[in-house]
Amino acid sequence: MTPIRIAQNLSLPRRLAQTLACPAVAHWLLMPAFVWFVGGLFLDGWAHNHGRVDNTFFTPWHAVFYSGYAAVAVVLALLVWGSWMRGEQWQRDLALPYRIAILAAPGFGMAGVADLWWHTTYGFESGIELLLSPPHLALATSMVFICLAPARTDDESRSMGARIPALLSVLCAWSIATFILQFNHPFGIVWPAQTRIGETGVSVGIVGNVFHFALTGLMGGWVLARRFAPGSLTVVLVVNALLIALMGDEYRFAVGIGAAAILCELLDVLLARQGVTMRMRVVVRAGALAGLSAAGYYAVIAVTGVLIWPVAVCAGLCVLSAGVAAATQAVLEN
Amino acid sequence: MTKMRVPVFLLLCWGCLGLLIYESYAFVHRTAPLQWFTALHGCTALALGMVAAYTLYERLHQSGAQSVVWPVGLIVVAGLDVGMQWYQGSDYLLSSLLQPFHVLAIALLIWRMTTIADKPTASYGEALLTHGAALIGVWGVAATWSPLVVVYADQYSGGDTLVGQGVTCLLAFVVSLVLTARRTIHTNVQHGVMLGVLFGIGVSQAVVSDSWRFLPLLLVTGLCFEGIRMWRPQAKRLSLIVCAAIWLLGYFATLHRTSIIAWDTTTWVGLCVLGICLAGVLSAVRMRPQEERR
Repeated sequence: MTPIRIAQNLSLPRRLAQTLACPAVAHWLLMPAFVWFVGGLFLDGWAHNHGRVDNTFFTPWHAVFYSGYAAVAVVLALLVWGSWMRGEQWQRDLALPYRIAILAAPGFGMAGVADLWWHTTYGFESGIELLLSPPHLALATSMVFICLAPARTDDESRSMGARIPALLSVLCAWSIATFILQFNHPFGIVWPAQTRIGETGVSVGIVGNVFHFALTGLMGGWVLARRFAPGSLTVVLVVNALLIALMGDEYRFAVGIGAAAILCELLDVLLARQGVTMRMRVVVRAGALAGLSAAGYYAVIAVTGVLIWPVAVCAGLCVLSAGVAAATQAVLEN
Repeated sequence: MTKMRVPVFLLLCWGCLGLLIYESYAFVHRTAPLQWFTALHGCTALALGMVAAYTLYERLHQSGAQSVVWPVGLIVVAGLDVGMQWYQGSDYLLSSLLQPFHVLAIALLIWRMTTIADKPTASYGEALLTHGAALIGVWGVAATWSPLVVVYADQYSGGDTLVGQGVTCLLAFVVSLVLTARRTIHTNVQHGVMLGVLFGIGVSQAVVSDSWRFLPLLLVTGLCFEGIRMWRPQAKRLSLIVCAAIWLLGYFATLHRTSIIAWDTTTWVGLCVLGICLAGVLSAVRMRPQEERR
């Protein structure tokens, strides 16, 4: 990447505006803001799941969350200001993902106001209604658009260190998605340790497990297709597992998912050495990650507690998750 | 495969798929005896074996000696499936359905069907099987979780668990619908195939559930999708998002008209929003590596 040369005779605001023209600067500025923003979301989720909230909108958890949003908004506003100072038009000259993020930021603010109105009018939901309320979905959608901007503008030819913000961006977007889908997340409700075969709960658990493990496999395929450094997938999945574990205090599953990710990364190195095409590797990784993360999940339950589901069902679900992820990955390649 | 033999193969595949769906009917309605070696299982196994044997025969007689891994693999896996079921004993419960070799055998069969003719020049019958086998086959076999067979939205409320189950099943169905539609667009298959696929899944699910109320909705969804494809061929994303939106909103409209929606309004409205967002993501995402995309 060609470094941007900044003339020394420019005034400080103009020099700052020139510095902001570098995509890497925007990426690094957004990093701490994203940690604050998404950290606030999970802190709020933790408080809801542990009975630390009352029926008011103005809680300390919301304060952290919305101040994180303010930090992100300030950085995005800086980008608009820098663009204006350079005599450009942000609507035309900034990269499309950043333009979308800049539009999503006020969208998030409006969704926040709508959320306040919703809670004031309809009260405070709990459980699945809380996750699926329209203002909350609008908040989550805006968040995903904001957090994905660095990943979508990422250049694969950059050094590994320079791509850290893009990786954090992937982690944030993935964490928001899993947060919203936590109503049937296998790390939240551990069905294989709670229900016997033939009961309704088993079929409930099966759907949740296949859905989430297949989704995890697809995320793994996406990370590989973006050529992140070896180990990136493991970091994303383990950190995400720990964040989700905050909701139900089930930290043990981070070990299973971490082991699955490491095995997948090793498998991928092996396939690359054999000269397997990138396309095939992506499909294989998606399938392998889905199957292995399911296997790791059941293994962790068996080792640390009691696995009530029959081994045949667990093995079948590993195969099913792998098949669903690989097939979906193959369809999404076109 | 030679042109003369294609109709025979298609017939075998459809027969096999039909038998799998009929097995699902027996599973859902508990009408079959609880033994593995029943006439129904026999017919399905025979059809499955014929598809595998026919492919093996074709491949062995073709010049260029194409791969025989799939047919041999299917025969081996199906054999292991039968052996395992015999050893364990079939209980007509989830442990039989989700036995790993059973899952693998069905997956191999469906995968073979979905790769028959992945090109725009395929005949309507070939394209219908290629694009419909996954949707019809997977939801036929997994009827226990199909939102068209087991309707959670008019039965359960209040309890997070079963509402969450219903929401996940509906999301999974929307994802499969959008992926199928996306594949028909990207392979530039002829018009009417998606409509045929939706008709096929509507009929197969109605047979399994004894309820035909969702068939009109699937036909309307198919017609709208095909309409947008003909009217605006470039509006690929729009057609997929509209397809998901019509199906989701139509699903709850059908429930409202034919029975009740037991879920909280927030839940089903939120689900529709989430499903439409998911369709948007699926319509936009590209999994290819960056250098290939360039």
